[in-house]
Amino acid sequence: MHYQTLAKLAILLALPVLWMPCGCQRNDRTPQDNTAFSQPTRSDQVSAISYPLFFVTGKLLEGTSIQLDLVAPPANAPEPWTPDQQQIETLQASDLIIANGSGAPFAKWMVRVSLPESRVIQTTDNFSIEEFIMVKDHRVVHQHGPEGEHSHPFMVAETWLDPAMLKKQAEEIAVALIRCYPTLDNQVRENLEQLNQSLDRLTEQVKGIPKGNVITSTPRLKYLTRAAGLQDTHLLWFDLPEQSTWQTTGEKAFIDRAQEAGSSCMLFDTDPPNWLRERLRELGYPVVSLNSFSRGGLPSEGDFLQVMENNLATLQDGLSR
Amino acid sequence: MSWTRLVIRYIQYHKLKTVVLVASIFLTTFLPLTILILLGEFNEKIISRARSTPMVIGAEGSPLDLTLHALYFSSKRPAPIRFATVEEVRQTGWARPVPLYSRYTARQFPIVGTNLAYFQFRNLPLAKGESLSRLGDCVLGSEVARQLQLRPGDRLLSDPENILDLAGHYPLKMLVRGVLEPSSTPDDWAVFVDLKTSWVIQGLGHGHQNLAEETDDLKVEVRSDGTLQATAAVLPYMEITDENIDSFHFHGETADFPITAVIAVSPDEKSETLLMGHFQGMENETQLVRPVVVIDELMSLVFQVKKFFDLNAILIAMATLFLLILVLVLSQRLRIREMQTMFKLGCSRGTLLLLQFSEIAILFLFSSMLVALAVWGVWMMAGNVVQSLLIGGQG
Repeated sequence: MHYQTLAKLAILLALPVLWMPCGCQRNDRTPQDNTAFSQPTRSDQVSAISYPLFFVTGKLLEGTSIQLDLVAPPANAPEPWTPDQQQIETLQASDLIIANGSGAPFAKWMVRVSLPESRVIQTTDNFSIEEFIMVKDHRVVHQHGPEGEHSHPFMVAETWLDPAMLKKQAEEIAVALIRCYPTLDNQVRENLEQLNQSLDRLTEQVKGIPKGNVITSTPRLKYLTRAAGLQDTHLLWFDLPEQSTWQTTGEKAFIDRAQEAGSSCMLFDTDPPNWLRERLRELGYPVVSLNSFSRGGLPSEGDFLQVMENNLATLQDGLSR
Repeated sequence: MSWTRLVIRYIQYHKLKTVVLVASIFLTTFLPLTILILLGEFNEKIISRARSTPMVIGAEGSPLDLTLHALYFSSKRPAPIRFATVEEVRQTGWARPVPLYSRYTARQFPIVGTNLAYFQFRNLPLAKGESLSRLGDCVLGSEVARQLQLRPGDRLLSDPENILDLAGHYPLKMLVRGVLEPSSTPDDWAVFVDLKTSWVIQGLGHGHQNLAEETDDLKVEVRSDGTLQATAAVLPYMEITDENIDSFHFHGETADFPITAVIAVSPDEKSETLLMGHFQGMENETQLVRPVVVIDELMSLVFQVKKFFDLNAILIAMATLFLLILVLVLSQRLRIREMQTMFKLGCSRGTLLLLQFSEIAILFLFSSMLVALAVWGVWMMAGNVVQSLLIGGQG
């Protein structure tokens, strides 16, 4: 009886001690190896945040097995736009995210998503400050924080409308691609040379546009008009005028501004509604519609070079009317 | 009646004496062992965390404060530095920077603003849900999720920095996007958000309704020059949803936005040395520290203090041993008549000695088992106890 009590007591007390080394382990982890972090593995995937950058990157990657994705709002997406979860995952998995940069911020959604910053390539970083175009957006003045009353300046993002600027961006992209994929060095350099020839041809065409004054519906076409040497008076029709407000105040304000500009060439970077197109034609301002690549993904027809050539032909036609 | 029965009977009868002797042996052994385990755990944890964090860049000041903040998100945070420092490190090409901005809390747990690289750097896989995707998302450390009973899809409100500051920032209701696997590190006790989300909490970025479409006179005034003036009645959104995320934007230059530290990870020793030289040679308001050096200095001080504890433990153990000997000697004197009676009843001297040694042996065995049990408990809990101490007793 007492042997048994003693034995039970001993076993009871010994159990945890015996269990300790064999069964139970704390959830401790060893420190990781930082080499893997400082030299990350590649997914052979690259993303671009606008069609022109997608086009340029695609040209540079021709003949390679790198997968290229375009993360941009569809043509009919409402503004502003934020990518969906799948698109965010694509961006997060990419080795490089080809973007414009803070001097010409094209994809404003980038501040609203979590991106691997070290892999975002700011292709306008090699531009000098004078090369950027800033427009004061005076639509809404507001105040919050210590900076007092202010409105937001508008940095024009469509740098690609000036082929010479796009050439510089292409060089930045090529440098980033070669740094990321050193084995593709020769291929990318060869592709860059060919692309540069196309862009140089386009630059010559832009310079051949007859000089004159134009009115633009938004500042988004400013890189093109500057490259072509045109005097550009821009409106702020980011949201096109409503028919009701046009009749009351809009038309008079437009005529005043147009007369000030001294031009009858009205450039749009979107298709205006028929009533506006008609009314502007009646007023003596026929609409010239260009594609600034500021909306949507892939163009419905042709590639970047073809669309730009169409743009230049349309512009030349509009100016010679 | 066998000798074992006699021993057990004796121990059972003298309960108080048994308890006092067992408690004396237990406490004398358990306390130094506990200190040894906790200090060992403390040393291991703090050193391993420091070793896995090669370099930290932050504002000039106490290197220890900066190190503890970068490693443990301690509430005693260093002065902020500009986000431009991250770009500066990146552009040197000598290290991969990981920014940290830990200023706010959510239910007393630190909110750590960082980027996706942090999870890769600390090797923190997700147990549930997804990683950070958009503004307003947060990923919880395992302990935060356990203690607050939160899962992916739930919402977590940031704490107001000062409840008396009516003009201060508005709390942000964050979406729990994922929960990290336990790592037995301070990351278990933190709420991770994108750096930009922490700037939204600070008020550097916000979303509000489109004022061009606002018709409420209380919110918008039309000025004489035709521009619109937003009034104080326009409140920023307190929760980032699918409906309002598109309206969120930041004011000012991102390069000027605040962070509290940058972890810099170099691929090799040469790059590390070059980066250290870069920051030491610059006359700016930042400093670069190597956590392992700072923590080594701290631990050498701790181990100096431990020597006093060790000496103290030895002296207490000796005093207890003498007391035990005294108690046992006195006990034997009191039992002289009992022993004489047993001798007369036919017990040999050997059996009598066996009885007395068995009693002492059982007491020591019993105490040792209790000590082993308690030490096992301490060993199991040491990680959490030390973690709580290191991160300031959160949770």
